[in-house]
Amino acid sequence: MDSSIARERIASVIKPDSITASQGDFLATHVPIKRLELPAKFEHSPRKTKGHSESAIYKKFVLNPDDKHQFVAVYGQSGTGKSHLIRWFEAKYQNDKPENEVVLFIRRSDNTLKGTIRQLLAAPEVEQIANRDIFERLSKAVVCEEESKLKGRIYYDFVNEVGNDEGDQDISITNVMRKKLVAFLLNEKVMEHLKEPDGPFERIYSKIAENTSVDRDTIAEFTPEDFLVSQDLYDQMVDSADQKASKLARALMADDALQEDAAKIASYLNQFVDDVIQRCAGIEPGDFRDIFQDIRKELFKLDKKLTLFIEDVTSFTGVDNALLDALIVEHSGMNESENLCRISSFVGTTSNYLERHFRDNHKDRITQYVYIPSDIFDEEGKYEFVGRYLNTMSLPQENIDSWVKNHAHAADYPVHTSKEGENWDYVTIEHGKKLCLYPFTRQSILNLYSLALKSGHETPRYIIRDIIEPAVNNILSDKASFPSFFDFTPPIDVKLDYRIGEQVKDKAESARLLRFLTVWGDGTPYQETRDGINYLCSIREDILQELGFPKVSLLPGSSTKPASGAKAQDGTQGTQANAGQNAAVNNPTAKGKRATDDAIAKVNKAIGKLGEWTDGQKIDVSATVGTSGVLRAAQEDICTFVRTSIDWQAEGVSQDNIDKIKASSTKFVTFENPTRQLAAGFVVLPAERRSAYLISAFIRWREFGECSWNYEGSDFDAFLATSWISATKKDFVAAVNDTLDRGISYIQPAIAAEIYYQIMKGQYTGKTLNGFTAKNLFAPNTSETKENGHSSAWKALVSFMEQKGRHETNQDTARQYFNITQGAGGSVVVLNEPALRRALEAARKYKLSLPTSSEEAKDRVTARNKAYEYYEDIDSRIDRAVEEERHLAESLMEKIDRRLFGETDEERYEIEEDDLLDFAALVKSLYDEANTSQLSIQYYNANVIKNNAKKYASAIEATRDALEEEDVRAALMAFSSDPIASIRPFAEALEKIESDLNKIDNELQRKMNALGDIDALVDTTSRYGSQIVLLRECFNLIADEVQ
Amino acid sequence: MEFIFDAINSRIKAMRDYSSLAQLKANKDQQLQTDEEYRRVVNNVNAFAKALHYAKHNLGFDYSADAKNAMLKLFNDLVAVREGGLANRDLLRSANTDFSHIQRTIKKEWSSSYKTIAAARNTLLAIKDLDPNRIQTYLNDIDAAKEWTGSIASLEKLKNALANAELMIGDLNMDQEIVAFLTKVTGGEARVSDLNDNVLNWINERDLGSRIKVSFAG
Repeated sequence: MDSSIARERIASVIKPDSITASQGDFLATHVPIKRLELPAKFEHSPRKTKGHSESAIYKKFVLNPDDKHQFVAVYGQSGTGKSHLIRWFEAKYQNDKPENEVVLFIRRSDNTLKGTIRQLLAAPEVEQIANRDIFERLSKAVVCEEESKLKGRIYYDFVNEVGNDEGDQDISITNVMRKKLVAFLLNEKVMEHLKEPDGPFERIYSKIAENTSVDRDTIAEFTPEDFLVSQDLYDQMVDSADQKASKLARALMADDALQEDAAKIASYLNQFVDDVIQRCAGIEPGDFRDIFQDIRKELFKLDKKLTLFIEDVTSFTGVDNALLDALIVEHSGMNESENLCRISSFVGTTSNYLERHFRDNHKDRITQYVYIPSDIFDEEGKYEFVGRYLNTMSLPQENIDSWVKNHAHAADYPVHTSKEGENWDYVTIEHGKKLCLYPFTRQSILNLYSLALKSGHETPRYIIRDIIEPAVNNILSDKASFPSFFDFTPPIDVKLDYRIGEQVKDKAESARLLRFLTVWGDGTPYQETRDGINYLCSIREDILQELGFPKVSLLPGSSTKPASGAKAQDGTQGTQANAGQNAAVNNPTAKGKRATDDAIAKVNKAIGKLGEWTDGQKIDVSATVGTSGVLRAAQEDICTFVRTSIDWQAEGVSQDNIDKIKASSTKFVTFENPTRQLAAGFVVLPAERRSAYLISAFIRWREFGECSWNYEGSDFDAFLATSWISATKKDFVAAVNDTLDRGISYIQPAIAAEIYYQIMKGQYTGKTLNGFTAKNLFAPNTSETKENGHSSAWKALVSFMEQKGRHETNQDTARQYFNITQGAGGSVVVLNEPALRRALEAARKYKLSLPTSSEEAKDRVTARNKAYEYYEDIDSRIDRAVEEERHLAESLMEKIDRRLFGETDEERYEIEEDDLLDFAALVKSLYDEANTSQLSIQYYNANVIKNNAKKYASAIEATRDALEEEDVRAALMAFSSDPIASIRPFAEALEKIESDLNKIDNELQRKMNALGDIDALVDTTSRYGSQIVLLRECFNLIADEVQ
Repeated sequence: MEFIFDAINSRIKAMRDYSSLAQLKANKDQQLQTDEEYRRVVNNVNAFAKALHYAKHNLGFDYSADAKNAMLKLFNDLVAVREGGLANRDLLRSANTDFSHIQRTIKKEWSSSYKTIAAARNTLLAIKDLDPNRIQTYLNDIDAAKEWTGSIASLEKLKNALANAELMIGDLNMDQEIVAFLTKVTGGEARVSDLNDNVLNWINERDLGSRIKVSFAG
């Protein structure tokens, strides 16, 4: 390259549309097309054959050796070089045409109808036509009109067409629908929507007027998408819209009706496009047909023939059918009397336009289809294409002009003298001419072609626009940043990336070098010396120095691919595009399967995101699909790797803890700076290169190895993973420590809660915690739900503890925390008894309480936190349960005491078994007597008291002891054996007895009353008066006797 | 637990009382018979107590403390017999049995004490021939009280007989040697050798020689 010239020339040489470049530059950059197809009928994408060269087609059709009527359609995707080919045909034909051949070339210019008319008016053949009216109309049509005014005219013209449609179009809609459509189109908000820059009216306007920003290959038509009504649009228009417009808008919002209605409206309106364009341009539908008829007639008179080149038929949008009508008319046969000259037409069109807008009768009359495939260049063709542009911009205009002036023979093709890039790649073209590819390498051209061009853009236009122009501008304006002109992320070889990252600390420089070595070189992590020259990634080291890259050292070795970057010795040294292949580096030791292209693309995309992440952007791991899903999966895979790689038990971490972490939303590893802030993992990978290496290794593990290390290059990824886990193991072990968040391990509340449970369930009835051992912890649960005597608060708490399986979960925690799995299989489990003993000691020591500081924080692992929450839920209810238990016990004991001891000061606390046995006997007497006395008292079997005397006495003692306990937990344990259950029936018995005593009183009173006057019977004074005296006398006589 | 025991006991007693009353009402004659029996027993006990009291104070009968306590218990039991308002037949029978037992006890104790109480009887027998009619009267009264009958009249006769015997013997001014001699005579065991000066003087002074016979020993 000669940058001093290129700086001046680049703008004029780099013209994406051939028609705007100078003739000299055009020819100097032209690369012969060798793969043209000649389908017999229209095919959107004809089957590939060996192809035809442009020269062959030129000779066969353009030169038209048989002098016949021709209508040749040159078609292909946008940007494939249709214009270029037609222009090349025209340029070449200008030199080769017979004397009586008139060549009319309608360039695409700005691809508008006005531009096309202007070209026609400038043609001498048109100036001489007889029909002056047409000429005048065309002259008026090119007069500039204010943009908004013209757009308004176009819009209202469509409304007018719909409003006045009498149903004579091919596609019709109902009157109701038509009226709705008119109302809809007249709505102010709808109008604004349809006139938006990417809307249909801008597209149509762009085909009429000049200087618009719309893509030139855009077709002037309505599409179904134009009529999709969003919620926003509906909300905006609904206030001002009349009912008809609203109804249609609503219909167009509904998903199911969407495609059908919108497509129908679009198709319906498209019928009016030609009429509206013609009317707005001020021309008549038949003008173009007539003008070409006139031209042909004039030429016929002059005994001349016409060869017409139309770069793009869409230049005639609105009148294209009229034009085609004129072109298909043959000069011979039934038209001979018309006196028309022979016409040979070459019309360029996109595949889509040809398919949809050429009427069938036009397609049938096309004498030859010429198809330009998208990928028109082979590998060498691509190099030559780029090389010619680079060469042309490095040559002064005069040199080019001089070459053209001398008929532009290939042998005379001028080649510039390289001032930059002498050691870079070259491409050899016809006649052995070597064109320097600076600032490209062959590899970079292939890579950029694969990576920089979007799908469907693999055409010359985009090679120029997206590769050559930005690259050259980049190297000319800022060599220090080269290459920085593309925004895709190339597939990175992790070893290369790693090595560069380790040696180049400057992040930007490191990234630039990696980018260059990957896209310009072979992207492998190897360097080698050949002929005394050092190559890194197959790129000469001096090239790297020339671009100011920092010095790095790579692994000794070489890619199996041919070197790139070496000065071409024979001009034919080829390389394979390494795009998408870099990951499969040529490590001689690499084993495993090769990744698919899809997998490579997926991985590369994800690694690209990692690059953005390390550059400061957020990383998205929120989705399960797409790149976000790939990154998310990598995060999960790293978590799994961490979980399964560390021997937690050996590190003193309970497997239960790990299992809980596994089940929780708190991950072992999360990435720094995520798009959606979720709970940070135990270890947060910083947004830096090393993290990206690791993540990318796991991405490949999944995508390439399908969750295995079986893929090419996996050894290094495995190395990254294992070295990382080795280095960070202690961090994880420290991070999963279950005392970090709450200050104590969750096993403490779990054990305390379990002890609480066992106490409350009566499974542990010890008076102190000292008796609670591992044996108690692992004792089988009592399955019974027998009736107990506890208070409702006590029962409610037990029920609460068992709700939703919380107890089972907690018990599992308490029991499994100390499990130690033996061996890798894990079927044999032993108990970490010392640790369990310590935990039980702690529970005993702190009397089932936890430090209050543990309540201030929350454990990040939900399952662990549940142990604390379970304990806290229980602990906060214990006081109440004990209090109610006390009240119940007090109440029962008060009843018992009052009934046994009355309101006396008698010592109440000594009720022994013998007392109760005596009591039982007395009670038996009572009821026996009642029975004997025939009182209506239900007999109470005092054997109940007799048989349970020991139990009652013991329970009463236990209850008294419990009531004396001031400490809640001591009281809890005292009540654990449920003495109330025993004293309650005794209290109830006493209550019955008391009640029966009252009944006896009442019954006796009643019966005594029934006896009537019994005074006489019981008047002992009168009845036994004398005996009383006598006995008293006896006492007096004997009592004082001294013996 | 006295409270509950008392409460229950009181009900038991009340029920029993009621039962008694009810039964009383149902069998009035039976109660009257019991009443009569009660009165009889009480009267007998009273008479027995009085006799005992009389014997103690007038005859020097020192019955045992056990007997005294049994008497006191009996009195209480007899009080208790009618504490339900009406005399309880069962209790009464029980008390009566106790009374019989006491009577037997006192009989034994009386029998044991009788010789001492009636010591003058032998002297009377010795001098019987001095005034046979009179002394026989005394002896009859003394002998009538040999068995305890609980009869105050019998005891009074005993007391009077003993008193009169004392007077009579006192008048004879006999010492123990004289009484011994007379006793031997009465038993046919007197020997001439027993006739010492004191005895011969006492016989001669009262001119009793012809009324005293000394025979050959067998």
